[in-house]
Amino acid sequence: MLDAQEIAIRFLDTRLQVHPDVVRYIQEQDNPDLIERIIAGVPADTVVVSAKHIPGMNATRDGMRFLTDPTVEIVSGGPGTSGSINSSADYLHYFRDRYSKLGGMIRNRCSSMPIEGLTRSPRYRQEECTVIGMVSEVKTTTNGHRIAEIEDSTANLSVLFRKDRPVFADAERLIPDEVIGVKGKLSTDGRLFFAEQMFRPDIRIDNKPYLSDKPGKAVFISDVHVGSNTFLEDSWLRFVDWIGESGASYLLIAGDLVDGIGVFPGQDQELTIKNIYEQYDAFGEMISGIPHRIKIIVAPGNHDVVRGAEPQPVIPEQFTRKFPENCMLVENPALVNLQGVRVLMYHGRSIDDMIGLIPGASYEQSGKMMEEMLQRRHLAPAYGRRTPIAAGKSDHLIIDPLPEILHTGHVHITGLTQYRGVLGINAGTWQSQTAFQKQMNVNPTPAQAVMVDLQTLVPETFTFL
Amino acid sequence: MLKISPEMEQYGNGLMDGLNRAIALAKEARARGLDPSMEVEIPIASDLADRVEVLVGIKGVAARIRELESQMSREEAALKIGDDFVAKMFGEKNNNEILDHSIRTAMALLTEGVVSAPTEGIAKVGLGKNDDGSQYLMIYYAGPIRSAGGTAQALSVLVGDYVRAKLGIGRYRPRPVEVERYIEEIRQYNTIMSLQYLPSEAEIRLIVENCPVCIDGEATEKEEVSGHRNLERVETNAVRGGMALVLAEGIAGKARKLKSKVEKMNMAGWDWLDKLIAGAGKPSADDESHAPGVKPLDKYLRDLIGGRPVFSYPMRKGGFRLRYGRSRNTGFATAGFNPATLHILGGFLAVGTQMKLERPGKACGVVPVDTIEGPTVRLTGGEVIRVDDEKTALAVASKVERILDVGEILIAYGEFLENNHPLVPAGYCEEWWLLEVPPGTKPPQDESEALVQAKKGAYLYPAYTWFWDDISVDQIRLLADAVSGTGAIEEETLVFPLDSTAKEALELLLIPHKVNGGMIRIKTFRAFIAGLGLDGNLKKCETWKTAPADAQPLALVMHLSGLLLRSRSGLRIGGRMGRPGKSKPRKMSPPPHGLFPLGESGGARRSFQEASIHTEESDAHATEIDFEKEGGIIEIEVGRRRCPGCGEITYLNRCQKCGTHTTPINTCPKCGHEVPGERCPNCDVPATCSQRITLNVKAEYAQAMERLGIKKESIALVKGVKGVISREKTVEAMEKGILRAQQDIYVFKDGTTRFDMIDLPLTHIRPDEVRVPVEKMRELGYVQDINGYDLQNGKQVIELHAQDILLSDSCADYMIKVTQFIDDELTRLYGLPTFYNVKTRDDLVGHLVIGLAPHTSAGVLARIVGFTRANVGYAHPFFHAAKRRNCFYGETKIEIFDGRSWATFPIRKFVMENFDVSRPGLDRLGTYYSDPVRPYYTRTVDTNGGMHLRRITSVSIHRSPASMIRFVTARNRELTVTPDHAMVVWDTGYLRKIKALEIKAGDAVPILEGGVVIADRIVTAETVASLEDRVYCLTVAEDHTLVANGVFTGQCDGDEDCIMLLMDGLLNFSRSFLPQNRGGTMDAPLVLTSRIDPAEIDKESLNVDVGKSYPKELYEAGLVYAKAKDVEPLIDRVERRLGTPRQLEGFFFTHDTSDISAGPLESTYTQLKTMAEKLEAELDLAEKIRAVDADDVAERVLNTHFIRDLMGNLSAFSKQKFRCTKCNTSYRRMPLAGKCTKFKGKGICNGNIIPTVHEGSVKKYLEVSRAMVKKYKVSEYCRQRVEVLDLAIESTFGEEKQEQLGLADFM
Repeated sequence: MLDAQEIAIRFLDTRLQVHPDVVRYIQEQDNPDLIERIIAGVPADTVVVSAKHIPGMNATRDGMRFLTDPTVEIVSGGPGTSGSINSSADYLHYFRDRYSKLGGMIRNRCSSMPIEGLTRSPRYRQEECTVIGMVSEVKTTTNGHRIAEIEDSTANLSVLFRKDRPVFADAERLIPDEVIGVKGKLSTDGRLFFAEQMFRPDIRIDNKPYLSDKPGKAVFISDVHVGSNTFLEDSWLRFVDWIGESGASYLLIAGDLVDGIGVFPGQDQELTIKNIYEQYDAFGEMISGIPHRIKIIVAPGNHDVVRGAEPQPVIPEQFTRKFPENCMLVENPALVNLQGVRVLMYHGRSIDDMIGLIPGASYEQSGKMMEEMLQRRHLAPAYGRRTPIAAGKSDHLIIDPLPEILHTGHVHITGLTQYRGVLGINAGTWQSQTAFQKQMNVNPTPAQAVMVDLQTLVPETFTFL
Repeated sequence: MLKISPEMEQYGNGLMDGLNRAIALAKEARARGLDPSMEVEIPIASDLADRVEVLVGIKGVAARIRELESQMSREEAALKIGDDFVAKMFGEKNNNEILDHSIRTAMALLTEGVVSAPTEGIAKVGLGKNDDGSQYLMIYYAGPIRSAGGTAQALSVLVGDYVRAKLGIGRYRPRPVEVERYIEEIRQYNTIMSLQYLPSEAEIRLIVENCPVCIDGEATEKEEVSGHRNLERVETNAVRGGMALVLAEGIAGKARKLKSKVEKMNMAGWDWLDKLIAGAGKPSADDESHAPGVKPLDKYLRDLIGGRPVFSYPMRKGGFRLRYGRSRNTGFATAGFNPATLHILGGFLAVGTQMKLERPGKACGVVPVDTIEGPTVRLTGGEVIRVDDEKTALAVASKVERILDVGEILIAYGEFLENNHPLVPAGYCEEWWLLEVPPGTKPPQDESEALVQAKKGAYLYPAYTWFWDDISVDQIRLLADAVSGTGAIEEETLVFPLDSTAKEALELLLIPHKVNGGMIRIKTFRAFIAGLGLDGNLKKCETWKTAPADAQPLALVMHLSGLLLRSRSGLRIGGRMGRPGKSKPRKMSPPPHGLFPLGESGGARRSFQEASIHTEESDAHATEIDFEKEGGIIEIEVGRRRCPGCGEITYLNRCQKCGTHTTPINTCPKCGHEVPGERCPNCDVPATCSQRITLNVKAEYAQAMERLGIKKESIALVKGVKGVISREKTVEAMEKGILRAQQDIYVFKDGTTRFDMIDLPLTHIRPDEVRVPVEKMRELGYVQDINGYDLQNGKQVIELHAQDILLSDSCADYMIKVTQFIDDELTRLYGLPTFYNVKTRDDLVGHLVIGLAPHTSAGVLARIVGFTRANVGYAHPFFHAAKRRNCFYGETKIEIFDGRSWATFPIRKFVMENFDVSRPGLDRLGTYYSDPVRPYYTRTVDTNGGMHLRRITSVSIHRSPASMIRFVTARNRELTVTPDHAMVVWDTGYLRKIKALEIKAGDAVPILEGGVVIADRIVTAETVASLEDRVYCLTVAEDHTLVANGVFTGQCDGDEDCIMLLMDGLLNFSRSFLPQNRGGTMDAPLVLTSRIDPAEIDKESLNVDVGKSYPKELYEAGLVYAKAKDVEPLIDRVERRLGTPRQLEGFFFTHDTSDISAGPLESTYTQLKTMAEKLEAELDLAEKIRAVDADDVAERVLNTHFIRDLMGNLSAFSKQKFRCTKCNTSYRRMPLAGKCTKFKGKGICNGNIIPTVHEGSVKKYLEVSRAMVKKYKVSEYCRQRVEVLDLAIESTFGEEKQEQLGLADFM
């Protein structure tokens, strides 16, 4: 097993810096010769060795993309796809589905064995092997190591990540219910697995996004919160004026269209519109001001009238009577195809959980949280915390297929990120700082919209304060 | 020194004689050697001064404290002793030492000196430098300051300031950046620990900028502030918890209390407290002390629980009318109501029920007082009457159509003072009238005489003053027109045609009238027509012509009639039902008769009978020969004792061979040697005192029965315990259990038999009402009545002595059985003469008992002087105040399962969902408990260490004792509980409950880790000062244990105070039944206070007012909303009598009551079983009462109970945990295996996994909520919330198939 530091030093010896992705790739390949081959092939003026320098590595898309007519297509998350919970057996299906899908992605990269196979027989002790499991618990030992309890459908296993090993950095960011692969050795008594390497169902290093071949622009916003006394109406009006002129063809809104009622205690004190129907009517009228040629795609969030448990269904008919024709309702989450460019819309409630679970995470860096989702290929990995989950037969929150753009909101702070070819947009809010945020010292970035050119996937942020 | 009169001396001596007599007999009995110790094990308490001296370790302090306390109050003494330190009287060397010693000593004094933590809550004191070069004082608070309670925290700052000023040290002048640091840091601390009171930014700024002492602290949290870091004068970047507590919960939270102390001690530089109380930065805050007048407060209506009715909305017409006064049974956080009121209000209020009040306090106990006015009601048919007596109330109850007025509430002045609430206007009443007429004037005989008196210039007598200020000027005109136009006087009755508008006005006036034949008939009409400005012939007087157009109703009436009138309504006070009271024998679960261990062989009931037929379980290796094993041979773990006479090793307390008392022997578990101390000197391990023995329990039992001379068949069941819990594993004589079983009474873990009762105060009794003959009373020393006349008949009122109590009938019946048990015990077991010889209830009178608050260490000696039909413990307020209460510290984290998911709360928060304690310091009487709002469960552990899910049957709040015990375990669990809190410890394989103060470092306690019970060791157990006024507890069904901060502990074993017979305590109590303690008087499980010193008991009792009447000034002060303190010198209160013999006697009351047990004896709330029934009764009553808005009640119940429940359950459903049906292991999520993967001994459990939240529990209140929004006019917002929830529930579970049902179907 190659040490990350060792690899970096090998490159530094030849006065080259190396991108962490490349280091990871070399580790995964576990082939020391690869380093020399990369170094040999690097052009003379290179400072940082990146993925494109890996021999034989050409960023590719797998498969074709069929373009539809009209140009907007809801790939998944259309009205009526999220069902109700039928029985407790759904929970079993749900997590098994998550395990098999995410496990499958990891299995492409390493060969694994069932946990029971490993633990039942003494044969594999002291031998390097790989298992894939869903994390059921993570804790830090008194000596500062991390122990994760992982399980597959056969058995469970305690995995130790020693703090003095390179794998520890990965283990620090472990969160419950994500699916990981671990390579390492079982202890002599068969009770503990010493991990040397960890795999996530991460995006392939050579992932290349699809770019639209026709011109087109999409605008991304979120968290409008109509009805709240902190809703920024003037900014919104400026935004509506702007979007007409902007040349954009699509407006995507990732939830919390209205402030809702009874979402938090004493909310009625902070509402200018206390009637939930009137809140949606007001929203409908607001988006009616947007030119009809712009397609508006609307998903619900935790303040909306639908159930809180994700996937959240589309906003029911009785509330959308004032919504214009050019408005499409989708669920949360939903995968939408804009001229072939796929956008995964997710409100982002799980960001609250992830910030609490991942060391160093903060609301200010909402983009970072989208990377964490992509690495885990799951929108809301941690179950049972703040994000309610309506377990269905399959897990709608898995990120598959990979989108070109991941669009979230919820935290009210605009954040952009580029991760392995995927553009992450956390789209801010149209509400100024609320009493609660003030108390929590969250400083929102209100009245911002992100516009993306679908031919280049280059984002641009506009402010309407 | 306690100053008392010769009579009281005699009374005290009488009690002491009784005590000594009992002790003498108990000693003789104990000398037989049958008990764990040959001595009586109840020590006598030492005084406060001694405790303080020991605590702070400064020699000579005790003497000085005694000296100071004889001259001034405790608070003053706490400051004044600072002077001595400044004078270096105790050998202080420098300013630092002076400051340090004086602050700690004062803290110790203020926290009653029972605790060791004033030493630990303050890390150090230091001197800093202001930017102008002057010095200032810094007090570094540490985490344990938490245990001292807000008031003591705040006062410690005050003490610091006092000494600082004496030493000439300057004030703290904070730099702006330091102020900001405080703001950030306190907020951050709140997110970590959640403060009880989080001050606003402006408040923090105000405190920091003005507080003359720098409130500093040690770093207590790992987290660091993100903003104001690396400040020159702040030592750490980490969050300082002690500082945050003192500033927020101390100074900000107790500003009112602090201010009253500042005033009392005339300290300068604290004027800013006024601003703080007024609400810093909130100019329009609802402040009562500045603008005259008060605003309606609806705090008591928040968190309205389904089934607990509202009786009156805040300051609403028709609500409770304030009458100042104290009856024999009020004061001390109780309020009086006419028994008719209690009946008319649906019987929800029984004697002893708690009521939540709008003011002056937050809650009160309900007691009957029949000398105040009852409710005014409209009966079917239209007749309006005022109901002043119980008999009428019961007769008309079914005919009541509307409750126009709920009647008067009697509140003592002392309650206003205690709660620092401004005085408010009382309704005009006779005693006020009497103060205003020339002395010697008699109340009028009839209406005409009253009018004659009034015409002479006196205020109109209240009985004929109607509620003019409740109706409008227009209504007055309308009535005048109606009466003058169509009215006639027939047979001394005013008659006029029924008219709905006139009728409505009459109902508002609360004037009794009848309706028949379409006519309204008013009997007492003279003052009424005078008020309307009509003459005797119903013609409008001249005054109508000069009537001012813009006059207020009452002024108009005065003008029209030419009479002086006062408002009859005064200030109305809102109220709703709190929790119901209860009274019952204390039982362990399962309840044993005797403390004799039977291990597993006793069966589920732990009975001797079961154990006697027990045979060894045949295992796989059993051979044929074992087959015929005799039954009744059991193996138990008991103490190891040796007979000093013959050297015999036994478990018995008395050697069976030679009859000598045996002594316990310690053995090292490692080397097996006998060791003298508690640790083996060679192996350095704790020695044990136990042995496993094989016992023929059948034979032993038979022998014991024979010794007692009881036939085997006469007792069906005798229950023992599974194992004994003390370190010495002391076993109680088997005979005691048998004798208890014979009387059908149960033993508590310490060997005594107890009865729980709720506290109510009582200062005077009538022999008849307590059902004791006059002769008997005279024997007890009650030879004079309250007026100094010889006690001759049962109607005379006599003053109750401080240590005399009444028993409820059920308690008396139980205690009779206990006396019989004790007599049996004395004669048959000890071979001594009987002691009690009680046959009937009357024989109990005069006997002594010990009163105890739950989990207290101090018992109070009391004497039985009578009985009450109510299920309450009536006793002198001093007696109640002398007891103290305990439990968990409020921050303790508990895990609660609400049927769908687990959630972790601080126990305070959980308990507060049932109680509104957001205004700390007002809940005076101590324990309050209630059933939880809805079923909650928590994890418990049984005696075998098995985990269960059990229902929480009640939650309770207790007054905190002065000290708590904090444990830290090897796995870093921390837990703070009251010293008497029941903890569970591992005792070779099973768990036993012991008192917290008996736990020592090294004891193994069960903790919850990763969903399993594992053992952990206590590393430290320290006594800390109690920093909060309250402690909290849950009662959990069956196992009576719960997980707190991850540690399994026992729970509160009872909610109410209890009593036990004195002889029971002396004979049967043994400390060695309980785990060993660390020594010292404060650790003793039971210290008996034989004489009450009013100066040393709870301060609240000092505010009980004891005069015969109130001065006119009180009523006048009420009219202008003056501070309660302003008239304090005019009112006779206990505090003013301290230090004189009159502190214990010569008490009076302003209002008599004929029967302290009148009114309903059991609340309707407890009689109705289902929530639907309770809710129906609640809403039904709400619709009847004029002062209650039924629609609003429905909305509040929806908002605070049903919607909250629906939302919580729905959200929990989608985050729910799972559990195994087989082994009950809990899973955070469904395991991928779909089966239980827990490893159980031989293999994997493989049990079925089921969800913990079900559809049914989510939808529980859905239908009834839907029905309620339909039936009642709730706000659109509320209606939509139900609608939205309905939608969300449907979307989660799919469409519903059921048909719609009406509200009636759910009620």
